[in-house]
Amino acid sequence: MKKIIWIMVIVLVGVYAALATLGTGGEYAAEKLLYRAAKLNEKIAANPDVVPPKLVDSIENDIKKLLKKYPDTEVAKTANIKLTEFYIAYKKYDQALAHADKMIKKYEKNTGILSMAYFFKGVAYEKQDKWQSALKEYHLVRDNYKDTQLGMQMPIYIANYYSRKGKIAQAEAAYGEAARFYENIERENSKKPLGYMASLFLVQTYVKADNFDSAANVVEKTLDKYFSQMAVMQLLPLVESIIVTKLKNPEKAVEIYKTILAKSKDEKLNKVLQARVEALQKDKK
Amino acid sequence: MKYKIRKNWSETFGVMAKNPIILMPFVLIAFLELLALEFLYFSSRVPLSYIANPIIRKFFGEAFIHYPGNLVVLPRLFYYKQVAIYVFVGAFLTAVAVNIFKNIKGGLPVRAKAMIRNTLKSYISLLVYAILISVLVFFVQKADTFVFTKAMRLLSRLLKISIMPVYNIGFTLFLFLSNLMMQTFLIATIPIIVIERVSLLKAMARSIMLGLRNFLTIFALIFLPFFIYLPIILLKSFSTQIMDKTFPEISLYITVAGIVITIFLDSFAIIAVSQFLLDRKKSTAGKTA
Repeated sequence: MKKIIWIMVIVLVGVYAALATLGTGGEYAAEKLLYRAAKLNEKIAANPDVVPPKLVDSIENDIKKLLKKYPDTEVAKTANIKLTEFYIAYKKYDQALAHADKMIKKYEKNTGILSMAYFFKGVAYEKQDKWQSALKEYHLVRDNYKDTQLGMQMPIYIANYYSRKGKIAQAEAAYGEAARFYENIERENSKKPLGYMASLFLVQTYVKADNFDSAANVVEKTLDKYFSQMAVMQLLPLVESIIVTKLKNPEKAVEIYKTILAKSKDEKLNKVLQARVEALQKDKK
Repeated sequence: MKYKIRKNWSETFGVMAKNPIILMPFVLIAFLELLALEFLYFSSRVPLSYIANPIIRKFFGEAFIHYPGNLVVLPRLFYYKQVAIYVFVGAFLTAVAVNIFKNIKGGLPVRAKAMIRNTLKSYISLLVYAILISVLVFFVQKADTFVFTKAMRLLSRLLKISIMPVYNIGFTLFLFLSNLMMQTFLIATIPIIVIERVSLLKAMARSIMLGLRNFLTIFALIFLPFFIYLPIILLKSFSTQIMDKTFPEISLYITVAGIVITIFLDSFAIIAVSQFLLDRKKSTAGKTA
């Protein structure tokens, strides 16, 4: 019996050792390193100002070690992004800018990462109150990477910055520019996913600019042009918040809901919509 | 006559301590499970990832082929392998253990080859029994989820409190108790097949009858080993939260601990029930004489 148990133990240890040796390095080891660094960062991110510098350095070293050991893995892309974010979070702006430049060189064909790297450069400048330099980077993201998530967000991000800073005239101009930008994208990509995304940003822009009539028009047009279950789910709350609450125009909301009811085959949704139509009509009476 | 549970436990423990060969089939099951676990643990790394990744990606999603997602899904994947091992060899090896116990109690020699050959005759019955048990466990789990969720919703509405903080622990305990109840009626099936040499259907019917007539005795007999395993069940049900608070590999360690502990607990439960069957047989024979 003892002999059999020994054989089993040897087989288990042997298989473990063989699989561990064959699987050494590569993506998995890199993922493990990144997870450890991210977890530590998560712990100290709550109050970065009171964290001992050694702990902060250990995160930086872990990510750097990963990038040195596994530079060409998929995880390295995320690690590069995390390291730049880390530098910005701990106010190491020069290092953030330098690392973003490294990313730009390394991933010159990856538009997703490039847009992020330029955006990080903008954020690093913005945090140092160098708005003009930041704006240059944000414009670059907007103009060169308009088909990325960040590229699409840039016009409204810029306008929101002015609004937050209380620069009313500049904010108005920026919201106007953002609206034109999204209208153009929508026109160029009509009935395509990018066109739909641009419409959503256009609604957001008009809402932020307190132009609720235009926002309501875009919501109605988008529902008609891009009708799908997902579009209905995303736009219905906007019908309520913009048309019913802000514009106090329940008749318009009822009209939109009836149009959806005529097109929608989703019984659950139709039931909810029907109830909402009745409630809005009852309120009117 | 009142059955002495403590006496059964001490006799079961004594037989197992004197004859550790009884544990051997369970050690073999544990060996196969550990081997399966090793393959699963390394399935996200080369070379196993070439085969495993497309399958895991299809059924669970991209996140589960990367660290630490692979460790989140590990207990679930292991459960599927455990079911397969139980169906094809687990029930059979349990029967071999009962056979060894029967021979020891009968003062007969314990020869591994003869035991295996002898038990192989009932392999199909044991395979069908294992499939039935696995299907039953699946449905009990589904039924438990339905009943427990409904009951908790009702309770929450009546008492106007949120049940979310206790839902997970409550459900785990509810599942534990219903599994224990189910086992009370079915655990004697394999010992009956081996000791009384009857067909699967007859053995299952007798096991259910035995459970009905001696519900408290069998329930109490198997409660102890099941109860000792409860912390592992609780750890498993909270593994995601534990992983988040400690380190991801903990899910692997919990699974390994579960496998090792099961060697002793499963063997103890099945031998205790076999002992009960032999005691019953003896007392019936005594009465007839």
